[in-house]
Amino acid sequence: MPGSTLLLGAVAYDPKVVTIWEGFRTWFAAHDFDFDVVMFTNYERQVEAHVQGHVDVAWNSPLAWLQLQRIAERTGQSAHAIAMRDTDRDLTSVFVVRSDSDVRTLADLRGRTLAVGAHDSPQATLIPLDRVRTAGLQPGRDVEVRYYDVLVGKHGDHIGGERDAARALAAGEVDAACMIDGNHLLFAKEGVLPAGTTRVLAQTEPYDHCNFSVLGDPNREPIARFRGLLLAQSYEEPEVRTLMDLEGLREWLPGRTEGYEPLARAVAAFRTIDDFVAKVAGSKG
Amino acid sequence: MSDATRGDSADASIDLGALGLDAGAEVMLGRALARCDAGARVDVRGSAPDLAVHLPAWCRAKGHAVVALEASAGTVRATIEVGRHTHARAVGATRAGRPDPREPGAVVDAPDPRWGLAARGALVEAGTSAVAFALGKKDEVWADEAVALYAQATAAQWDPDTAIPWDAAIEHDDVVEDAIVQVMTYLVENETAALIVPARFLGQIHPHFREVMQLLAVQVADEARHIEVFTRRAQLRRAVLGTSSAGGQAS
Repeated sequence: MPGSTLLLGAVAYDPKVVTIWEGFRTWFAAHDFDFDVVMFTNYERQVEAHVQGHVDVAWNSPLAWLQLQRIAERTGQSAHAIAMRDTDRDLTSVFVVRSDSDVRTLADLRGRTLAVGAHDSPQATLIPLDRVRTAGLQPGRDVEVRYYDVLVGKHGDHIGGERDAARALAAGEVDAACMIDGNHLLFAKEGVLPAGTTRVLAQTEPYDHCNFSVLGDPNREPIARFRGLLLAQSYEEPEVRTLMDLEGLREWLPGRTEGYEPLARAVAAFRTIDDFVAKVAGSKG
Repeated sequence: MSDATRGDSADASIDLGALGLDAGAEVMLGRALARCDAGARVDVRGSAPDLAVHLPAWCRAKGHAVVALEASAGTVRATIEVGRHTHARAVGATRAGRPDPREPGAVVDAPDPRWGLAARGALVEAGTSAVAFALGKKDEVWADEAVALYAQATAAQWDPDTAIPWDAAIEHDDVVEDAIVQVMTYLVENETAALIVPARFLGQIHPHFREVMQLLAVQVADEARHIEVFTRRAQLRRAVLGTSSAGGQAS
């Protein structure tokens, strides 16, 4: 760790990410905490940089968390999720069909077309496809899967692929589409899926989303101070509220890992991160 | 559908009927929760098709907790605990003067730059950014007469199309018409200056002094009308306008 500056890695999936972390930098400085951010365009490079020791904490997608955790296991290290947003807990994804569709259950998707998000989106692709698999349908064989690969490497953070999948459903190009529960509501407001034109076919079990990940002892300084300051941030503080609204939370919560089981099962079934984990774990030596 | 009322063990209850959160029920629900204290329990009932999916997703985004939810026979019954930060925006909010300028203290001496574009009399949330207004002091900008002047200006608006007899016969010869066109050309330039000068002040005045801002805006609109009218007269018999002199521009 270079000096005592805590370096956070974050993926810039949207220009607002710069605004958010510059804002938090100012807030941390006002609390006498030396903090800086390294931004990446994709999670894989962030995970690799973290393993190489270039950042101390990583603001990770759930997929990046699992990549880091698997690499840590292989290289004799420990990985910890130290904090997350209140909005990162207990999300679900939904399968959506047009209101007049004759598809009534997941089993009815046999021989049909399902639109999903980017290949690496936990919420719009990986978790829902695993749900399809456990419903007895093999994605790609029993159900045609159409991927909407927007900005692969960002693990679906910007929801562009999800929105394109929804547009395809509205246009009649596919029979069903996958999205986060909240995005079904958002897309109705946006007019992508006008209210009353679609219905929810099925819902996944709850899962967790992003977390602040560290390698090694999570109670060492300055990581412990970072975590303490983060958890003490209050939505009642005007400057903090502006940043929290941009980042999409009302409060930071302690990290937990039990919510990653659905994604862990999906990556195990589809073997999507095996090559990357092997490559990075191998190069760490 | 009924509005929030006291339920058995809940602090309030709301029946959304068949209206979905994607079709406007969000407004009703938001209003009902905003009237409750943080931590209050609110019973929610509704029969919209995807309510069991949308309600927890909406609560998660808004910081409320769903403590119970059951869906049967097309009806959803849920209990929501109002989020701790629901009333956070009110903390540190300030009242930006009062709307009626006749009220004592309504127009303040030095409006806060962080009141920005907020209407005078609005409750401004803490955390807004400051907007730079070069003219932000009452003694630089304000006059009590601005209120009456603005009322006068808006009452005296005229329509160029009907106020001027555009069809009136033109019987003088070309030399006179050329002179008239030259006068119109000079007047357009004059009125353009008369528009630009107040316009350059307009964006610099703190909106707290709204009547002064409004008066200048009507002035600008008036000058625009003058430009239109003089140009139209010049074009009645000619395809081009007269001369704009260096001396005239300099003046």
